[in-house]
Amino acid sequence: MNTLRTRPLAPLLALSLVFGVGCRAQSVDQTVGQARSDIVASAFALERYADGASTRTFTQASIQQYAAALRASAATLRGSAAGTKEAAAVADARSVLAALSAGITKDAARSAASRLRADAAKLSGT
Amino acid sequence: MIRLSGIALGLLTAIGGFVDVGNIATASEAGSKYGFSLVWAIVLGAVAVVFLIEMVGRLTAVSDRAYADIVREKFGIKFALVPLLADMVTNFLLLAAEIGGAGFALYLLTGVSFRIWAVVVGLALLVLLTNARFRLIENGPSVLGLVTLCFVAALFTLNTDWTAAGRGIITPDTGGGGAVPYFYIATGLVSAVLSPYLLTFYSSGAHEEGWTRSMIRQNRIVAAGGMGFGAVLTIAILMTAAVALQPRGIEVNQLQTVGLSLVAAFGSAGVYLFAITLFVCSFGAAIELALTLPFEITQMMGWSYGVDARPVDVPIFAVLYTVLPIASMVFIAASGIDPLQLTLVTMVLIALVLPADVIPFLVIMNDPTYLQDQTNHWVANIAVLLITLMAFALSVIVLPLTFLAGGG
Repeated sequence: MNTLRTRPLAPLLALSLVFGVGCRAQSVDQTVGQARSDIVASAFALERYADGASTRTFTQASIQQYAAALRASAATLRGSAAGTKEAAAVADARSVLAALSAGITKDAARSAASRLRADAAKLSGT
Repeated sequence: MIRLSGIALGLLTAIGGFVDVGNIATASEAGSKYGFSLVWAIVLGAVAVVFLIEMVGRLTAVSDRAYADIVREKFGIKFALVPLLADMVTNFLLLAAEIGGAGFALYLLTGVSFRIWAVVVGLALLVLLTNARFRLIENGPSVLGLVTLCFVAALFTLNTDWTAAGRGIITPDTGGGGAVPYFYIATGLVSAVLSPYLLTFYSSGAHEEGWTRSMIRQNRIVAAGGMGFGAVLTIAILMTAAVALQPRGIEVNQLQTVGLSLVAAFGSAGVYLFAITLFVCSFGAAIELALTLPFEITQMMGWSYGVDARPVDVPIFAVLYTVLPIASMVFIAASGIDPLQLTLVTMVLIALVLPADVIPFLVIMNDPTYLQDQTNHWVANIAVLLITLMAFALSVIVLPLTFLAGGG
């Protein structure tokens, strides 16, 4: 009886395992992709501010939001199968944005933007 | 006799009132992730909403009754509770998202937390609802919503390659990310454009203004012209994101990222244009949503209602439009949920409950008891039914797969 009951379950379990792992892998890819987009977006926001083409309040508010999003992405990547290079790039970008949270100048914005571009480049191959 | 001033105001309010946080969020996300290739979803939603708005205006003008009132009479209260409960959930979430969207606009201008601004917006909504006349509530924010035209201007400032845009529109492309996220956003776009809450709001507005059969032609022009141009504005939002953000590798995952597309086009002025657009569109839609549920509940239950009536004469209606903004405000301010993510999930949920609203409505639209000689043409029935069922089928398939894969 038990054998009869468990037999149909085996392929189902295998399928759900494959499906679950596939979904998990997709989730990590999504997280890396989202983090890369957030890093590029924050770099662009900072560049526009440094060029005098955006306001300080908007840039500051945007940076806070991207920093919060990257904090979540970094936490997800820490417990995932993502490479250490990717996790380190996201963590670095987060620290760059965190350093700007107290206030930004145009010079600081420009140098932070180029560091963020470098972090994004490390994620581009993933 | 068609009143030209009535048509002009109707067109202006329909165009200006068309865009809300749902349109802004889904169209920008679509454009930033898939370029021009999801324009078809906006066109589908637009075709359906033009038909639906024309129908509900015609129904109200001929029957001299509001839509929800007829649903109760035709199907009985037990059946009417199904669409009512579905609308209660989705409209509540959408109202919270709109309040959050308006609060977020003020956050981008001031740096003060959007959760604090959400409280201020909720209270402002309450003051307006309890003090203003219906005509002002209906038309004021909608006319201001014309600021959305800045997205059309942005396309010219950004030197859009119109040939590439045309090619992109006719070439659906999932962007290598798979079909599930592509159709998740497509479903959200159809729902955002369709906005089924407009059925109740438009019908109630027409009833409050005492529409008669003489309004049928004007209603047809306003529905086709206003909703059609509104859809063009939504396409402009999508295309602006496709032109300004996608080539830079920026995807819209948060609301401020939408603002970057206008910053790219207009510099610092883009910040103010975006914040004003987001605030006006969200606040305008919040007003409509805060009245829609009270209208729907009171009409379905056969209770008295009316924005311009004294609260003592419409007690339940008054209590509902007082409590609803407060409850939504508390929900978004206390939870701090990202308004954009809340909007996207709500849009797909709306597609899921769409048949509960649309199918009974189509049955009524073919009943000469209410429409006399103005029942639906079969083309309208087929078009609306097909689009509704397609959005529903997509949401049934896409929603569980998206959550299994870790969210949209």
